[in-house]
Amino acid sequence: MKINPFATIKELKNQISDNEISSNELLEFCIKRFERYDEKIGSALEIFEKDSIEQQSCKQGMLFGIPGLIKDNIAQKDRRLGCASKILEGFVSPYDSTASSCLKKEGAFLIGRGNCDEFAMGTSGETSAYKKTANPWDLSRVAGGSSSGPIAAVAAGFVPWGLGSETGGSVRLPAAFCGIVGLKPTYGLISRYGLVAYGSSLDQIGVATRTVSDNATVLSVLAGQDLHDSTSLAVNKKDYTQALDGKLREGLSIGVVDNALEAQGLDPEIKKIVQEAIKQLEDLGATIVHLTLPAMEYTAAAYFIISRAEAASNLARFDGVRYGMRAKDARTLLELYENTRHDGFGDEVQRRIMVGNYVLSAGHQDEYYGNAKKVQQAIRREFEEAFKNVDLLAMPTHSIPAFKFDAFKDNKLALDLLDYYTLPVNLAGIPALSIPCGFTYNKLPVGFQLIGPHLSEELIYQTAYAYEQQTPWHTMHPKGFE
Amino acid sequence: MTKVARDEVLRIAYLSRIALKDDEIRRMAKELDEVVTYAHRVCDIAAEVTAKVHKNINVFREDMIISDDAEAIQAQAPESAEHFFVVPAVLETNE
Repeated sequence: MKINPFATIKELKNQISDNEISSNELLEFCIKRFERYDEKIGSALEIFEKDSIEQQSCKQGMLFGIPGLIKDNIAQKDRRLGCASKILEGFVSPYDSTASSCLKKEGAFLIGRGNCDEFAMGTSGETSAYKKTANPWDLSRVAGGSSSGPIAAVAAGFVPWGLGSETGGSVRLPAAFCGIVGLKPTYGLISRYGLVAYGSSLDQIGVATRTVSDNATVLSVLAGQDLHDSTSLAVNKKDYTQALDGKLREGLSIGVVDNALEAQGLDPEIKKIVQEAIKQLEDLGATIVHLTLPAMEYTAAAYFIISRAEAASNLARFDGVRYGMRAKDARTLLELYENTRHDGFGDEVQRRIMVGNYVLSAGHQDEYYGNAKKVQQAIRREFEEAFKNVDLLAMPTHSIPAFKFDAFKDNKLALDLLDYYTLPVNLAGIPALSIPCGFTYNKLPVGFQLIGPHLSEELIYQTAYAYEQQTPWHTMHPKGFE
Repeated sequence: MTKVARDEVLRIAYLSRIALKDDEIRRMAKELDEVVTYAHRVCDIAAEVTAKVHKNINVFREDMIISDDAEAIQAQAPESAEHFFVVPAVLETNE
């Protein structure tokens, strides 16, 4: 039986339950896809041995027999956990993250470790200590980051789902660059237990798939309260695919953020394509309301400060003492710390730790961190006010399409500012879904995002599904990976 | 005018426990300067924000030891002895 590499989870589940293919055959097929094509893409740091994958998972469940790729900053028991960094060389996780554990209990096959920007710090997928990840639509361009590996693997048809993580847009941005669906859930909806911390008040595991329905299926496995994570919300497990009927909710209103569409630096092609997507939602029955979110202009600055302050604290544990790499020939403990961290962390990670310690240091804390928290309040307040008048918001996910490797080599600030559209959502802790909405003239994917208030994932999925079913984007796949 | 001088870079590098080489100090000063100059714009609107910062609520659990497999964890140490992680001397000696 021929397996379609771009089949949905739904289709594959049906094929397995109808005995057209076995879970063993599907796993073999996916492993071979990586062997055949991943040298071009660089999406996986490791693909596990086949028997060991099958042995770890239950023999039934919502995702029985469905392989997926998990970002290298999410713990899988007895597997390497590296965050794509030299400083964790050799480290094997002694436990499963809650996300990994939930997936195994529902029968999913965790096929390997997905490449990413080192410690999830990046926008392009170029800062992994091991290799860069290419965009399956154009191999001379980045996949986007930081969850570059899992997203590229899903887009190229190696696996039907991937897990990434978001602190500032690191699932939605690569999803948009690679033409697939990427969710950042409400803060606290998916347990962070076993997700290596970057910015703890912002981090969330995110889901990448080729279709909206698949995304909702995977979220159904992951979402729910976890006592190991005291920031996880008291939400019961539920089926997020229930409301996917292909129609918009009666009386749905969608806010279009005008200052986002008029932002300097937004590619005119992306603007036009996103406006067409919004028009289609209107044609489907949504009421479109125009509004502005002035605090968006300050969210990048606030995000830089808050995320880097938290990162400086979270990454202090990587010191060569208890695990991972240790610098040789250190004469004192201080030398051990300083040399290990200099040799083990890449440039971008070192830069962010330094910025974090700068903004928290005596004399600067109120000026930077204190004020950044105020700006965070302002953006949260603006979203709350907006959602009193509209059900959802729509805006582009990205300002420019996937760019060439090294395009921002000498301009790191400009690279960081590419997260302009994704950052406000992370600061506010609300959910957002990026969905493909077209292609540029150069055949590069374009994505737009639907943003909702806390715990509105079902409404977001329902709306996105209705749009998706009226458009061809989810049926289009990159060439060269047949 | 730059916000981040060389001495400040060295101070922050010490706080970060990262040993920087000379050429790295120069590069880091420039890069830090760009980011903190940009980040300083939070001060522009912070003064206008009248809303109080939300107070976080703490979440407690029972004060019980939930232990993991200490051996499995210690087995990964670069150097260990008995129950201890072995490191170089805290203070330099004349040996």
